[in-house]
Amino acid sequence: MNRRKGVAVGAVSLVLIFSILCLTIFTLLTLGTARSEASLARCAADSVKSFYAADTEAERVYSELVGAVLGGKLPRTVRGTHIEYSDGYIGFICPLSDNRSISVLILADGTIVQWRETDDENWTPDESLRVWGGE
Amino acid sequence: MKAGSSGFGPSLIELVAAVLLFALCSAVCVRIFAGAKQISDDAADLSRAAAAAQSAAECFKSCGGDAAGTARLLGGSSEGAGFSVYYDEGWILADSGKYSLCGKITEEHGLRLCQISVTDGKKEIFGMTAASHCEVTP
Repeated sequence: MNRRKGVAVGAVSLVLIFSILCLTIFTLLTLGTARSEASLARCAADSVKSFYAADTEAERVYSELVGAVLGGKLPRTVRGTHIEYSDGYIGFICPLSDNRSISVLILADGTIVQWRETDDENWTPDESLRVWGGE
Repeated sequence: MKAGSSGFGPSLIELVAAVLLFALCSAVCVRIFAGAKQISDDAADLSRAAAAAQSAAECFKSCGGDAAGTARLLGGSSEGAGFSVYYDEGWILADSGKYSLCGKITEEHGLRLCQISVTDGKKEIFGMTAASHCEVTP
């Protein structure tokens, strides 16, 4: 009978290697998923925070602008924000992020006509795909 | 009978080594699992806190910066120029609970500012400022 010498590699070792491999893979997958969730949650929280920071700035500009307009002045800038006047409307834009902003449009009496988040990036629709347009 | 001659010795050494190695690896993996669960729980708390703060900000704006109105809409209570709302472990509205949302309202140049803070009793999870304009007169 041949005697085994050195470290034996039998069924136990094979089961061990398989178990550790499974354990390691599942651990790394769990950690990866958790980190992705944390990253997504941080992004969402930062997005909410930046929106309300820009909204607060827009409220400040609106408040000062309406006070000035009702006082008979037409300022070109308020708190560093450029004010545009056209066709009875007064408008200004407060940047929210690199490619988003809050666009505000008001009347001369302070009535808010538009207060919305806009996308500043110009985009062109991809029409290279031939899709069914109906009939 | 000698252990080495029967092959029982190497098998036993292999088994002991396997158990030790498995124990070592599983200990490391369990620590990583625990860390991952903590990260995941923190992320869930941050998401819920941001959603609760956003909800409070919209209620504050729709009430025109009124603390009592905001507290009523949120299902919380108001004290002076502020309001507070409590949530339990599952982020369900409660009279007192693990998580609390507090809003402090201040007035500044025709604006009502609300400093919203969501805490878990120990630390702040999420904080932000919302604003609502007052009636503007010339």
